[in-house]
Amino acid sequence: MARFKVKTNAPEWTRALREKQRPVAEAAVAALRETAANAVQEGRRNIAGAGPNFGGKWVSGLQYLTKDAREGGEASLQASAVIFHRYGIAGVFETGATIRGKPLLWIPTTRGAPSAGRSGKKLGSATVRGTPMLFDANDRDRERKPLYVGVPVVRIPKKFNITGIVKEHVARMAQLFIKHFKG
Amino acid sequence: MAEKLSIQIALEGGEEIERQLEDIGTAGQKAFNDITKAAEQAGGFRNIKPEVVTAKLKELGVVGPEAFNKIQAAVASAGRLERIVGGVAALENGFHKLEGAIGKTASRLASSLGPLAGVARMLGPVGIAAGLLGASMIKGAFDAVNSINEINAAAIKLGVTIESLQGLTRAMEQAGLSTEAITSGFKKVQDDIDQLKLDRVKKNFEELQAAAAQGFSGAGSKALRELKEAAEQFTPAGKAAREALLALEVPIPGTTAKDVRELGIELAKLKGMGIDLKVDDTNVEQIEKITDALARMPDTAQRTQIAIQRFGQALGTELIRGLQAGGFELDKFKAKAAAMGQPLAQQAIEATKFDQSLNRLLATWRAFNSLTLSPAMRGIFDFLDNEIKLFQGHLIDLGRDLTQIGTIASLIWNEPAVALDHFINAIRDLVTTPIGNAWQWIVDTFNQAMNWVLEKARAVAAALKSLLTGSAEGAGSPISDMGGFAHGGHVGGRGTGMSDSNLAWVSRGEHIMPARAVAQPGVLAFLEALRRSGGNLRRVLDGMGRFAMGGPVAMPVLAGGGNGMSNVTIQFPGLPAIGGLRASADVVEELRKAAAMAQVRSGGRKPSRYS
Repeated sequence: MARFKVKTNAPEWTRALREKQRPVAEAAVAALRETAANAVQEGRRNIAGAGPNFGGKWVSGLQYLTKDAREGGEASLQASAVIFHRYGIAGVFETGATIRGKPLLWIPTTRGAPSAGRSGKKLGSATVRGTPMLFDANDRDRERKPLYVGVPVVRIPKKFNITGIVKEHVARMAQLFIKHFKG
Repeated sequence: MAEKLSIQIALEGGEEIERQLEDIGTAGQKAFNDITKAAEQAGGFRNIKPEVVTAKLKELGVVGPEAFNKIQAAVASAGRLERIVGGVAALENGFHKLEGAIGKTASRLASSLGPLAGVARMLGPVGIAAGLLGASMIKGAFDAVNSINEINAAAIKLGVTIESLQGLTRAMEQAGLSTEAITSGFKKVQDDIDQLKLDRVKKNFEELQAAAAQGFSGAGSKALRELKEAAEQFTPAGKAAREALLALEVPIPGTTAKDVRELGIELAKLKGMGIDLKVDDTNVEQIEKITDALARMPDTAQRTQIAIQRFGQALGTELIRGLQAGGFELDKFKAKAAAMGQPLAQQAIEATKFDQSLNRLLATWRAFNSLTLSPAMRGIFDFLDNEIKLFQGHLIDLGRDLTQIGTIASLIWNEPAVALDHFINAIRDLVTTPIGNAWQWIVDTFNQAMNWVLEKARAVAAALKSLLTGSAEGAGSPISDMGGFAHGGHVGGRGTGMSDSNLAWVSRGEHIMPARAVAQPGVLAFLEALRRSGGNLRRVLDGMGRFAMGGPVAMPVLAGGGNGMSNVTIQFPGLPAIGGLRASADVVEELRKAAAMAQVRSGGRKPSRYS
């Protein structure tokens, strides 16, 4: 039997394909958010465990932002997330660093000491057994301990492992994607 | 200067997916457009209006490859002539519309249907008005033709011209008279006339007899003249007149014998037809001249009358019919001469063509039918089937690829695959019709478009895979660092045997065993041997059976228990087997473990790892 059955609906075809893209993008963006959130959560624990000098602000300073997650009200496959720390110096503890003075780097020995930059008025310098030190300008007899010790180089060890934590979470992003896609 | 801590996570490949999906959409549109364009170039779906053709064919019960047989059946069983007339016209129209698409075959079908439609149209008004055609079209058509012939014959005998007869017939039909009634009326008139003529002949004969007795004076001249004129006719009166003249032994006037000789018809053939005109075989060369003269004459009642007068009603009528139909076959002359009467000119032509058209249409359909069953057509169908299966196989492969990245595959691609399947089926329906060979280039277009779509679909799959592996800026992919296990193997990694700490891409059909099972003595070695052999269990078992690495031989369990003792045979490499030993179940188990450990050690593994 001669049967003619041809339907051509190109717009419908395109729309159908777009419909297929949407859940993929939604799941991808959700997986991206969860990955970033998990990484930040574990990163904060990592910072908190780095030592007593990294208190609440150091911990809460680690945050994340998502970019381009939405385009025209719909999830975008071009989304990205940035995990960052509010303290600019935080990167030093992520990788470790070597700090050099010009010519010396003055290490404070106590809290509340006047700034080393104003040493001319409040601080007085002296070399004790070959080590440059700064004392209170009123402590001419050097009866109290020095306020600063001068060193040419300081090596700061790596304290954080934020990048490693992010890598681990990114490695699990596919599972999160599947979870969100199924959901 | 302090370095700021900032790590960006991006969806690698997302942009590529969007681009590929866009391309797929474009490809789909292109495919649709190409197919539509191809169809239009083949005659145009809009112009063909297949639903109309199909509906008309269905109306006639014309479906499937036995279409023509069904046409015949429908024609034979049609209750109403109007339906046949309309149906045939629709069929003819449908084939004409299809002509552009399917070419020669449709043209032949349409041309074969032409006369059929002509006869249907010709018979329609007559049949409807007369109410004669209630049984079947074929029988009704011949009945109508015979009736018309009888009317014509009677009318010719009455000296009624064809033109005036047609007008008279129409007038009678409008008055509600049936063809049968008209025929019987003409016959009645003819009989009356014949009777009058016979009476007249009888009277003339009696007058002549009287004149002969008186020595043929002028008294018998008028009677003789009338008798001679009557003798020239092929009527009962003419026959009686000839017999009367013979009885009077007066030379028979008339031109019959001479005309027959001039026609040159072979006496043997005429005698074979049951017609003996008592002519000799001289002057036979004149036949072509007479026939040519008749052929050149206008198709008038006069020509028909001359033919009938010269050759008799049957022979003369058939001769005229042959001239009207454009052919004259002597072989058919005999078969039809006795049956046919005198037709109206156009009706006679249509009736002849009707008969011929049925045969031609049947032959054409048979040829067409054989075309659809030809190896070439089957080859096209096979090709299409293979292509479609191949395409579906591609889809399955595509799904398998995607399965490697989770159940996402079926969820994402199930619906498009189904949609494509529907699309393919639609095209298949189109191209596997009996006219499919004319649409081969549409098939090609379709395949090209689909291949294009398929390539794009694969690109999307690859991009999806890239997306799902995930990546962080400046970070390597931890998954890629694990190495591939496409050929199987023991998985290292981190975590415990049940922690599921290691992400893995696995393929359909692969088998994963619990670490606890793998850790059993000898299991890993056995699995490795099985893997390296490509799954050849027999080879592995045969290798074990040779005890190249030592080991216990199968220990049959004694049906009667045997006091818990089992037969044991020990095989050491390079030494003959030690048999005839019996040991308790505990000892046998110890031996089994020792053999397994020996196998493991031979594989270079630390026993502590497995026990």
